[in-house]
Amino acid sequence: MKFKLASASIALYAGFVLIALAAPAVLPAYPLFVFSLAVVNIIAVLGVNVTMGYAGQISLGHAGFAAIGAYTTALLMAHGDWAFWTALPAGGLLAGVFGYLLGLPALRLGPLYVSMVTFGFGFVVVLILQNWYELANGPNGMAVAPPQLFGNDLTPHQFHYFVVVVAVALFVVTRNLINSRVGRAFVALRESEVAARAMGVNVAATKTLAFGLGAAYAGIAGGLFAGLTQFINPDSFVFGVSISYVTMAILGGSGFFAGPIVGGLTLTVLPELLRGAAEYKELLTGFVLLMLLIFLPRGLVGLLWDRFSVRPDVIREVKSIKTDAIDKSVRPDSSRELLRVTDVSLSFGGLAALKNVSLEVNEGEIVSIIGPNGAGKTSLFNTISGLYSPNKGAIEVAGQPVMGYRAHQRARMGISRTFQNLELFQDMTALDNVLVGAHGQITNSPIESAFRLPGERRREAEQRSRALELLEFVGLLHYAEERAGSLSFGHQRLLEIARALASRPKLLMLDEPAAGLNSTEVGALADIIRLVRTRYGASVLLIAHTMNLVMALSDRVIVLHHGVKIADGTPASIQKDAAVIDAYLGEVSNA
Amino acid sequence: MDLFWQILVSGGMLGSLYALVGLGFVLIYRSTRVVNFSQGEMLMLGAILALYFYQDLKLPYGLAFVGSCVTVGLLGAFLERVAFRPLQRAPVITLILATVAVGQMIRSAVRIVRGSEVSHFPPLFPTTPFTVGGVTLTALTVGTVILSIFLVGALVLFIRYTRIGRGMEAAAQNRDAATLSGVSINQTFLLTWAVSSALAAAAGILIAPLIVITPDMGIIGLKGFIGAILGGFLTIPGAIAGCFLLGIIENLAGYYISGAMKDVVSFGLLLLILIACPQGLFGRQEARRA
Repeated sequence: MKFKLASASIALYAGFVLIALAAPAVLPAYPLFVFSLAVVNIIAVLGVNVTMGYAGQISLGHAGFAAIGAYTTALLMAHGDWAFWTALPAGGLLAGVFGYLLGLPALRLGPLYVSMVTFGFGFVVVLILQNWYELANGPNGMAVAPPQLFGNDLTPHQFHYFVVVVAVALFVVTRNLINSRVGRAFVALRESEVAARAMGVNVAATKTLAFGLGAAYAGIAGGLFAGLTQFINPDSFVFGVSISYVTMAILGGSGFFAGPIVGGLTLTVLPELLRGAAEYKELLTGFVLLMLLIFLPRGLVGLLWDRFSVRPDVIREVKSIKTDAIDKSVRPDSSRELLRVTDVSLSFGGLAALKNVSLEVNEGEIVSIIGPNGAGKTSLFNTISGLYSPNKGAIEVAGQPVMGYRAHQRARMGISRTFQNLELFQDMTALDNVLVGAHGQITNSPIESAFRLPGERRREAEQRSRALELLEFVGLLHYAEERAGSLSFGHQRLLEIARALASRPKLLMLDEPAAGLNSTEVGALADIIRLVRTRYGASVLLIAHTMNLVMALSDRVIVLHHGVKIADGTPASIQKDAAVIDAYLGEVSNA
Repeated sequence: MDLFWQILVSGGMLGSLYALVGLGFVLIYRSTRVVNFSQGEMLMLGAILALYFYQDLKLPYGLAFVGSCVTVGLLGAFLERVAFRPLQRAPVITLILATVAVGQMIRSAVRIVRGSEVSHFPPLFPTTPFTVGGVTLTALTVGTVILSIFLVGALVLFIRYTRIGRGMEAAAQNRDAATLSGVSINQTFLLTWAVSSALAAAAGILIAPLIVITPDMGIIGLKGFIGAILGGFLTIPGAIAGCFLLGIIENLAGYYISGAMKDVVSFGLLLLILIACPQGLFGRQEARRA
């Protein structure tokens, strides 16, 4: 089976657009209306796909955003004398603002609350529209004047073309965004929020952007719906409509680019063919949704993707990479202090995880932290990287206090890490994982990405070749386009190191990188950690239980026990330290 | 001043019903981490079934009440088995959407069977008003409140003092440790869904004479959810207190602002609470782990 997926899918999209544009010539009035409606729904579902499919934020209120778009467009035309063409983007914008605001409570809350907040929002919008007679006649709805161009009303044919053009434009913009820094941050958020933060992704900004963007698309769909039907009432935006959007997104394939097209088209046209009463359609939607969730959660496009997708060949691309890439910009000066932790204490409830811990790491130094389970090693990492805030104490990196900064800001200040229990972005490729690591290194704004401006392309290309270089460094180049979740355990550990290095860290914290590796793999890991210092100039803070690795690699070893630092010295001195042997080493050498 | 007390008392009555349905949300969430969007539909179904048993089959009220709760409880258990258990390992979003799908199916199925017919549940107790200390009451409202408080109390005792209840509590606090101590998670979840569905049905039957029965009456179930969030979703006493508070706030808003905007007020309150203090007014913060 040797065909190029990329060109095949471009051909499919082009074919669909051609069919959509040819439709007015062949279809009678009502089928054409249904087709236009399907394209409008596809736009709304594209919004759901951004919020829920890519960014992983549940939304049960997209019909509410569509209502805001529709009513804003209609009211601006009726009372403000705006033209449809200016009222439509205004409606999309207002819906986007509401989405952004609704994203704010989602920042600190889990899917439980987010689902209820979005549901409640959609419910309240309909309730207000039904009861506010002065605004737009309450439940009776309002007529919308036909959109005009040069003083003439648009025919349904012309309006259909317009809807298709809008849809194509939004899909192109979305595709650009999804393949850029922003889109990777969306998916990273979905796959592991904690890792996204540690890699420098501003989770707050990313979540609100995902909500705002998804809502704006729904708002535009609502405005187009108003222009298409020329009549709107609250019934067109009830909860059931939000569920339909979600069902369309999942039927097509949540998080797949073509998903909204397949899902939106199928679930708009199919019920029309059945011609049943509204309640039968709702029953069908509910049933289809439940069956999809149980039996086909990746949707139709996901099914095809898993079957036929072909990994692009990146090996050829790599030939052009200069492999001597020693980073000359960072030359460690081992006499200069890089990290200083002063008197840090951390407790959960009444349980103290860290008690007055102080330590220093110099530039280019490899320092290991050892200690029995529950000694506070990972808590220390979480405190340094900003995932936990300590009860007291101070942390400085290169002389700069970092306490006031959040995790993603600290990542950009040069602190990077891996995770004990592997927090890879499972459903992204190895290459994209590393590119998320470079999130703070790329400065492209969403606008630049949406329109693929020249500077954006250049910076993306630079980071891409650097990411490939890092994959080569850890020996995973051949797996660049594989799903991270499909890699072997050892490879996943190495991939986390490559991802952590992509942010050009001054301090690399490795949380049990050797856990679960066999002895050959541990040997390779030791080489890589040594090279991290010479090649990338980073200091390494290492948590490990494998004493051979610790003693062979470390310039210095720090021992934690019950949250207290009980020793700090050269590997040789630690091995002789009575307190350490008593608390920890004794057990290990007997084992 | 009498009017204020009147509003307060009838708000408290509403709150006791919210507490009944709100506890169902809390139970399911605590053990399965799912917010059940079909809880309102269970409430609606409970009311409709009880009406059918009572009015069409001419069963005595008590039997109709119990029969409806048992039927809806069995439906809850059935749904857990066929729809939610296969998704136990799926992301939470998937499970939440599954409850949304189930709710939609029940709602539209009822609409297909009954149309959008509006029915009234014949009042169980007399509705002639009497006055106590300036506050007007009816035997119906007082009886309803006593019944719902009795049910809430019975549930709390059930969770605290029976083996099954303690199993539910254990599964809520630590799923793995509960399994190791011999609590069957599948069985516990099945029971949780059954009990909370039956609870919703009971709330539906009790609330039915005070409002009208329609396929969309389930929306009132979500008030229980909001009340529970308001008080603190993770603790049972907090959730109950929040439901009472919500009933009172709604009634105040209904009187001083507008009856139609009552629901807007409660959902506005939900947003406000979630932004300002997501652990609820009387609740505690969920322990966070990285």
